[in-house]
Amino acid sequence: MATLRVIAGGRAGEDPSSPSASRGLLAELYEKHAPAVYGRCRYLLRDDEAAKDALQEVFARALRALPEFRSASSPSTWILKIATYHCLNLLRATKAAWREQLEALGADLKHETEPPDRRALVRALLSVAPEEAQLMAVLYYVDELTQAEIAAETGRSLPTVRKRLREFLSAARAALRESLPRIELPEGDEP
Amino acid sequence: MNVDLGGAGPGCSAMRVRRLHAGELPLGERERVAAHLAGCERCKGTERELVAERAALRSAVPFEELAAGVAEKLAVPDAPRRDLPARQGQILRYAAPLAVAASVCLAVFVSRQRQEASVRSKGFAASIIAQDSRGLHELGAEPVAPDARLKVVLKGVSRREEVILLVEPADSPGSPVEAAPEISLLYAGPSREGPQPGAFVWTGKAPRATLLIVLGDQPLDAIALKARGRVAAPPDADLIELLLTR
Repeated sequence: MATLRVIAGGRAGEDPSSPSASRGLLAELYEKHAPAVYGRCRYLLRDDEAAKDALQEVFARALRALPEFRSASSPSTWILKIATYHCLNLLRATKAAWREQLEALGADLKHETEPPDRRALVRALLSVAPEEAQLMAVLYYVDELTQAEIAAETGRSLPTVRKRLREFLSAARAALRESLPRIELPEGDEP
Repeated sequence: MNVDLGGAGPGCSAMRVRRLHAGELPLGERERVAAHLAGCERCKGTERELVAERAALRSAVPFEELAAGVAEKLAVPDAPRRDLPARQGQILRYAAPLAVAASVCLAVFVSRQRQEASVRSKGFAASIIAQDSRGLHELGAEPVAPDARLKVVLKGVSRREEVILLVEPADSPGSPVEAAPEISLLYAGPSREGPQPGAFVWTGKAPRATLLIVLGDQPLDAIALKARGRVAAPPDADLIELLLTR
C-alpha cells in the first residue's frame, strides 16, 4: 500500500517570501480576479489546460508586479489586460489558423440567417489584425471599455486607439470576405 | 448578413459590471451602474456570465492547485516581458528564497551503479523544498513535518532523463526477513534544471524514507525502477539519494 500522496497538479508552495501572508493575498486574488482571468484565458485559448497554465502565469506576474497591480485604478481591468496580452502572445506563437476558425464558425450555424456569436467571431478574427489592434479589439468588443478607457489603460492616445480599432475592422472585413462572405460587418470606418 | 461586433453601449459595459462586483467603482458611479443594471437585460446577461465564470473556475482550478502552480511559476526566473517593465526588486523578493533553497545541497549521495563505494559529487546538487507551518524553506537534516509539501530541486543536471522515486522501508519491525520496500513513482521524463515537476506529501508511517533520483541519457524504465528500486537502474545511470526522516 503506497503511503505517498501525490498532489494533483503537483508543485509545492505558494508565495515564497511570506507564505502565510501571501496565501491570504493569493486567496483574495483568487476570489476577486481568478474567475475573470480564467474565463478570459479559456475564451482566447480555447483549451482548458492551456487556460489553467495561463491563469497561473498571469497570477505570478501580478504578484511580481504587486505595487503596480494594487495601485491600478481598476485592478480588474489591469489583470484582465495582462491576461489578454499573455494569451494573445501565446496565440501568435502558435500561429492560430484564422481561416479554419472562421469556416468552423460558419459551419456551426444551423441556418443561413443565424448570426454567429459575436465574441466567438471577434476571437476568430483577432489573429488577422496587427498586434496592438488585437489587444484593443478585446478591450473594446469583449470588455466593452470605451475608447477613452482603452487609451487610459494602454497609455496610448485616443487617436491611436481609434486607428488601431479601424485597423482591426479593416483586417476583419477582408478576412470575412475571403472565408465567410455571408457575414458582413457594418459599414463605416469607425468602430 | 450584418453582424455588429458590439462594444460599450449606452450605459452598458461588461467591465463596469465586473468592477461593480469587485467593489472597484467609486460611490457615485457605483450607484449609477447598480441602477442601470437593475433595468438592463444586457448587463444582467453579463452578470450571469460572471456567475458562470466563477463556477467554471471552482470546478476546474481549485485554489490549492492555483497556489501550487503560481509558486512554481515564481520559482523560475522571470522571462523578459514586454507588457510589464522590469521590477527587479519585486522579482527578487519572491524568487530569492526559492533560489537560496535551491542552491543549498542536502546530504546527497551520488553514485554510479556498480561503483556504490564511491560516493562523489558529479557537479550537480539536489535539495528539497518543504512547505509546512514554518512556511517555504529548504529542508535540511531536520525531520519532515506532518503534511509538509515537498518538492525536489536539481542544479547542474547534465543528463537527459530522470526518474524520481520515494523509497520507504516496509513497516515490519521484528521480522527476521527484510520485507521489500514501498516504492512510489514521483516523476519520470526528461530531466530539468530547478524545481522538478510534481510535489508530494510524505504520509507513510516509516520513520525514514529515501528519495531516489535516477539520471541517465536514455529513457529510463520507470516501471522496473518502481518495482525494484536502484538495482533496476542502468549501469551508466547516476543515482542521487536524499534521506527523509520523521
